[in-house]
Amino acid sequence: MSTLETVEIERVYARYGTLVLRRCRALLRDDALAEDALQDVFLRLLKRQAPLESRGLASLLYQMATQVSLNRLRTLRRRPEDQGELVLAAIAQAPSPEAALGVRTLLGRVFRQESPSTQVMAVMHYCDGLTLAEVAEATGLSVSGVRKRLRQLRAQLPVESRDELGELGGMPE
Amino acid sequence: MNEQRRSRLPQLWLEQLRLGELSVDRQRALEKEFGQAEIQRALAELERLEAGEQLPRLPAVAQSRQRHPERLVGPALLAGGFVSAAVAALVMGPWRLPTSSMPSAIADAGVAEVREVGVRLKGEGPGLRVFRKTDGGVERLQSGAWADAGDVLQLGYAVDRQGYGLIASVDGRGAVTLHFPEEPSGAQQLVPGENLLAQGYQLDDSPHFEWFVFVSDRQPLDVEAWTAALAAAVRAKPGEPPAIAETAAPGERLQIRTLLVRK
Repeated sequence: MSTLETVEIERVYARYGTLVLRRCRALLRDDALAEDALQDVFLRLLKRQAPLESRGLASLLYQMATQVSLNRLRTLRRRPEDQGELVLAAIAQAPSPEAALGVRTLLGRVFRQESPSTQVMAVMHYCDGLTLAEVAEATGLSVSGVRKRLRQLRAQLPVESRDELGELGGMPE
Repeated sequence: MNEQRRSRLPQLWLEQLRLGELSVDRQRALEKEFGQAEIQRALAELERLEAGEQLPRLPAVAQSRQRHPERLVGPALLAGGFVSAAVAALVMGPWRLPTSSMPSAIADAGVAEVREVGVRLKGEGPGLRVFRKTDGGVERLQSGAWADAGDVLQLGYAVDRQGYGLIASVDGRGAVTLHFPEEPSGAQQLVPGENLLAQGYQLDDSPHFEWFVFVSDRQPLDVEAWTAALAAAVRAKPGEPPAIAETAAPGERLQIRTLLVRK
């Protein structure tokens, strides 16, 4: 299977831009912030060293949009207005288990790609309602790997934030 | 499978459905959970939002980088189609060899020297070992060697220090197989010296190649993360061995050895 060597960013942007914008808007709840995040996502896509999925970019861009939005939320420190924002804020502020292990750095060096962020997986599971199996499918990890990482993340949260998340595996498998 | 129904369709699946990137299996699962009518209603609502979206202009910085190719998209994307997931964990029926007899057979073949634990390795030193069972005994395979479906291989490794490791392989269909440890959560301690894995296995009829990688480190490895990264690398470039560089510099904490068997 051949791989295109020409950047078709305008085509990618036209096809997926609205998806990214909707995702950022849903998490950030602010049009201006979402548009800013949208641009950040596509700049990151251009800088990305790893080869991209040949079967479509929706999942990857959805995860990138989630990551960028979480980064913004982490610095905003906005007062959460409802349960959904409380959960998001807790996840955004959680320390990254991968950073502690150095795994992402290591794998990134060897494979020149990014390992999916635990925070992104947490949003997909706790906020979007994806099951552990669905998160695993979207991120390319095993179900046990997703569960393990979410447990690590949850363990690093303050007790009150853990309560906001509920029990791990609350979604159907 | 828990049959509990969720209150709403996950947005990612809905977006993928709109773009024609949702797998058939996932579509069926959603239809079972939510029903056709609910999916069509949600899809129509998403299309309505889509029609009203005003996408800002593409960032100027992004446009200026268009002359720098970085392999962004594959043909399936351009076709707007979906290629079913190419990578799935493959459990090849392990082909148990009389491993107790393997070291002497290997030594007889004159291709490797089995050393006691803690003894300094001679010859080529640490690395990945792949042997093939022959009518008359065992032969060592070097990278680039040819093999056929049905060949029985025995994997091994050699290290000169204690540490942790994993051995995995990728075949021409993109299937990733973990050989050591036997399970991702299994013990991954390496034993200094020449070692053979507990089980050999038989090559199946996957085409083109079987590519092996041996990763060792002084610290425990995240086996799940490594196999996931391998799978992602394979998905990124189907039909080719993952493009990762060997690192085997003395003193380097992380050591990676690879070996390609052609078919």
